Amino acid sequence: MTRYFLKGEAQARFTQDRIDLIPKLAELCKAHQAEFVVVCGDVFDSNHVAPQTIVRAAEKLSRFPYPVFILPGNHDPLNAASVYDSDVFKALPERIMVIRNKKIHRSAALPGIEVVGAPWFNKQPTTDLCGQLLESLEPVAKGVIRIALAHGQLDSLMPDTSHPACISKATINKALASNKLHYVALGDRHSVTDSDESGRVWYSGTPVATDFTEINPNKVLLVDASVGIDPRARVEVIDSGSWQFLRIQENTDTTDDLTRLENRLASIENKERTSVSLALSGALSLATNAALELLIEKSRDLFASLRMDELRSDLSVVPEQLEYEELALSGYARSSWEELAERAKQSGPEAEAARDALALMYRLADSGKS
Amino acid sequence: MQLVRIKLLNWRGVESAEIQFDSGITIVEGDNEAGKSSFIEALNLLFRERDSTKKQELKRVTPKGVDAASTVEVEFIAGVYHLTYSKTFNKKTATTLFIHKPTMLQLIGAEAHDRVLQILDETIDFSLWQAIQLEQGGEFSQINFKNSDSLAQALDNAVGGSGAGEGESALFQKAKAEYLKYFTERAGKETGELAELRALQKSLQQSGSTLEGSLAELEGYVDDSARVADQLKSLQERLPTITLNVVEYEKQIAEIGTIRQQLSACESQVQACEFNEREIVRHIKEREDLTLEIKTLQVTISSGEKAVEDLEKVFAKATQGLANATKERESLLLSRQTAERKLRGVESSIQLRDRKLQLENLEQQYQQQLKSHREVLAVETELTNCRVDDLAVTRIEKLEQQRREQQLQIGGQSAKIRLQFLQATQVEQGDDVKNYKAGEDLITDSATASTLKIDNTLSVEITPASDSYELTLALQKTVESLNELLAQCGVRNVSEAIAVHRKRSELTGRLRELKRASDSGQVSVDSLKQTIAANEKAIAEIEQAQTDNATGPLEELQQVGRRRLEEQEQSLAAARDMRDQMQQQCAAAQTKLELCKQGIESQVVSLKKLESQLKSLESKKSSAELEASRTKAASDLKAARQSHDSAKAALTASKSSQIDLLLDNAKQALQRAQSEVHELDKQQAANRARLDQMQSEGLHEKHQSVLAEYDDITARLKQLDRRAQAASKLWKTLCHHQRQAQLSYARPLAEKVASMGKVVFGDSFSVELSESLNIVSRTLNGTTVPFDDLSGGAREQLGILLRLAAAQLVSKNEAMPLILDDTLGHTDARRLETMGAILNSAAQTAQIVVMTCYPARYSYVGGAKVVKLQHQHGLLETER
Ligand SMILES: [Mn+2]
Repeated sequence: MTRYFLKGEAQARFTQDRIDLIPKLAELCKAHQAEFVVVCGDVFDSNHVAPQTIVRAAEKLSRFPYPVFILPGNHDPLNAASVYDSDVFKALPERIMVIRNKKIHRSAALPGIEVVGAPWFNKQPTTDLCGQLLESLEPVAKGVIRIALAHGQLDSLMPDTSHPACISKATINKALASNKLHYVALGDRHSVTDSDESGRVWYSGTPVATDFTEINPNKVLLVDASVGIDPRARVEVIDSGSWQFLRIQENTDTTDDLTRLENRLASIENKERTSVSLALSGALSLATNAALELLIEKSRDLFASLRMDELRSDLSVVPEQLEYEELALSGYARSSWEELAERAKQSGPEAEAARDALALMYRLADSGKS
Repeated sequence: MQLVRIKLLNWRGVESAEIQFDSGITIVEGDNEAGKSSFIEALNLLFRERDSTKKQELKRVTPKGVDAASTVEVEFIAGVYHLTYSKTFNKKTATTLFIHKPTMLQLIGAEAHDRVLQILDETIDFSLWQAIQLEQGGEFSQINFKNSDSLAQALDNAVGGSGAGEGESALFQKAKAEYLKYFTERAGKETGELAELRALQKSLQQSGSTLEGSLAELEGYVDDSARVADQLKSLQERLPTITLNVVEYEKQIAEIGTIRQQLSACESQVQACEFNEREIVRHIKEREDLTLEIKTLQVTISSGEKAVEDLEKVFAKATQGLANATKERESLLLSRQTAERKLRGVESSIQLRDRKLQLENLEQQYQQQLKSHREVLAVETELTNCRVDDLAVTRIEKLEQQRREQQLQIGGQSAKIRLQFLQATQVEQGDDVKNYKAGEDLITDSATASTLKIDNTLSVEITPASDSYELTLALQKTVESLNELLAQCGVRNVSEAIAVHRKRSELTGRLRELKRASDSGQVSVDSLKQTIAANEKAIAEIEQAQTDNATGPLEELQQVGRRRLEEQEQSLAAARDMRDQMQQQCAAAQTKLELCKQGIESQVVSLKKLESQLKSLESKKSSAELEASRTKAASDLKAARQSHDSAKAALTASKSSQIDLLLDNAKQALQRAQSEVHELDKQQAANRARLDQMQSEGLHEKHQSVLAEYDDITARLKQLDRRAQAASKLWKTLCHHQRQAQLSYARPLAEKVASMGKVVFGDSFSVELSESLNIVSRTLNGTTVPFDDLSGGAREQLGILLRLAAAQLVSKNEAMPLILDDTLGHTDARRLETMGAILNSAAQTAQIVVMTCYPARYSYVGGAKVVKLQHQHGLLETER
């Protein structure tokens, strides 16, 4: 996955970490005695990823010691260009299974386990694929645990449910109630989400954080779907990723504020796997502004990325009287300053430019003195 | 600054010269070669160049061929300083500075140079001084006031400003440098990093949309693959049905085939039955025909036997007839022999008689012949005695004639004239008048004289000849010839000759006659003799052969005999014909009989054969049996035809042609579906190939990385853009305020120019100056003319005024000399006076030096000190 705010070696590190997630998952399985893994779509960003990306992922998967059920999602649908039809994927060991149809998938290594899935065949399905799948199912035989894999948005979580591909929560509930399955693993949402009190319909989020918008990323779910005294499935949220995408919001009016921001940035661990988005607000003097610019410049190289979130920032530079007197301007320079200062008091882009011009003038005149 | 004096040594055309300046206005006069310009040049180079310079400009100041250095020395006052400054170039280079005030000091070399620059920098605005110089032929119109601090200061003072310091200039330059980081100076276009990032952003955007295009194309193939797969699926679902159709129709076609085979078998059956029936009918017919033939043959044979009997009778009758005819003929032969013998006897008697008559005739002939022969001989003998032939008689008569004529002439009795007329002519002879035609002759032999008058044109007189001896001689000769000839002919005179000649003619005729007679007999005497002998012999033979001598009229007997023989012959021929006829009848009857007998025999054989045939047929199958099989065959045929008809009906009921069409249609549908499948497979393969190819490009990552880079560049660009906008804002604001300041400077300068200009041009004069302190336009009598459109003279005058104004505005302690090199060339006399007054007035506040080779131009400058430069000598003179 390419993140626009990651560049150069940071992007390479990110890509490598995502690939390395596969062996890391194997370790987690071992540690938590998991029996198999299901992945509910969007394993790949696109069917058009570079051959080397597919080869590398397949290589890691081929070494994965547990059964894996992979469901094609909207990013990697089972169409003519599907990554799952590539030669390397076809050559994977049997335990790595791609759900290609509504059939019930079983594995000799997993007695009493049935896996069904609703794969995506194109990027824009016109029906609730999950609903279709569930309605076609017969009730589960006694002693067998059946898990359904689906991809897409649950209508119960969506403000707008008019989209035809929305997954019907009601259908899921009905299927659970009529003993057609025991757990629905959902994909598409990058945030871990427990859809309701039944505890049997979960989004597992993303195992590696990918964006600032994600809530509770870097997780995998350890699920025990067997039916016990507690009707809920036992689901444990486990850390899997180490990347973080931090949005820092601060008021920076004074030099004290600046110091606080500096300390906050300094306190962040694992900077090389952290992207920072700064949303700053406040009125800066010309000197404070210069100091802030210096701080940002200095911090930039420490993090995987650090940038101003212009949309969420509201910084203005206001020259102080003191600063003006300090310059002791005369002639047309003086009248120029006065004009710019007058404009800077207003608002809008013109005033913004005037403020910037004043800052520049301050810098130029000041440097001339020293 | 004030110039005190300047001295040149070996400077171009000047060997050695010195000018001392007035503190007001100094006019330096001299012609072009005098070296005025050399002073200005030397002054500039002194301040600008170090003595060590290697510039070509300086190399040229030393005159060629002069082995000496070029030196310039200037004494001047600047602020508190009073100095003498000199430089020697090219050879023995040296720089020397004597500071006279405020403290005496001497410096040399670079130190001297640097000190002078420092003093100048302290005391005057050097760049302004440079700017206001008006050089001969140079661009004098406008002044470059840029970088002139002292003017700005002076003007600032003039407008009562607080005075802008050096700090502003520095800030201005820095702001400009900052602006130029992002924008070009003139066009204000983005440049440097800003432009680069902008271009990069654009190219990334293009790459991005190209990649998006490729991705869209790829998705297109994906979609197409799905569509083709759908079509293939539905086709393959339909294929079994279509195939089944074909199989079903083929089955039906096979069933129809069986019906067709049955029909064909029935047709064969019908044909076989028909054949069988025909055969039986043929056999019956054959047997009937055979029986009929036998009957007919039997009738024929019995009628043939009756015919034989009749024929035998005919034959017998014919044989009798033949015998009779033969007998008749033999008797007729005998009668004819007798008649023949009788005729022979008569005929030989006739022959004998004729022979005897012929012999008698021949003998008479013979005697006659002999007699005429003798007569010929006699005539021939007589002829030899008569020798006067035709030729001789002619000659004799001629000679006789000649003799007579000659005789006559000799007698003189006659003369002869012969006139032949060539045309019709009238001739008078005496009283006689006669008309002659052309070709007529007139002969006169009158022995007397006569006159002929011819046509009254010619008169001929004829006179008779006299005797002549010659004539006598000729007569004698003629007589001799005549006599000789007569002698030869054996006659005595002419008349005898004529008689002999007549006799000879008679004899000749007689002989001719005789000869003709003997010749007409043609039979010679000898041949007559022989014929007679032959006749005698033939008679003897006939007499000997004759048996009985016929008596009576022999010719009649002969006639009768001949007639009888002829009759005999005819009867014989008739008898012979009769016999032949009988013979033929006999043979014919016999032949017929034989034939008839033979015919019956063969017919009997045939009959026997037929009878045996019939018998054998009967023995094979009896007629009754044959009839029975005929009935059976008829019924078989009927049955076969019925089955055939029913088979045909079955075929019609099967609708075979419809099934054929349906099968054909089903087959084509199958083919079409298959080819469609094939086509779709091909399309799918093409999609696959294209997909495989594009898949390998890793378009997703490429696109993502372009997007990332684009985003990064855009963020950087935004920051840079903000800085650029700030720089632009600052620069433009500074420019604007500087312009405003400059415009306010322009006002006092313009006022100063105007106050002087009013003197020269009149009270309505004013000028407008630009922010760069150049004259934009001049207004006179309410008319404003742009500077560039003014005449050369006006531009020149305004240029001088502007310089004078600038020089005057600079404050007193920083005053500087204004050097004008040969100006006012374009100025008319009327203006020269006012310009002179202006110069004179300006010299109160600023030192002015005018170089000219036209002293008249400056004669109006009242308070001027004039310095005259002499060529060669560089002599210094002063006049007031
Ligand atoms: Mn998705």
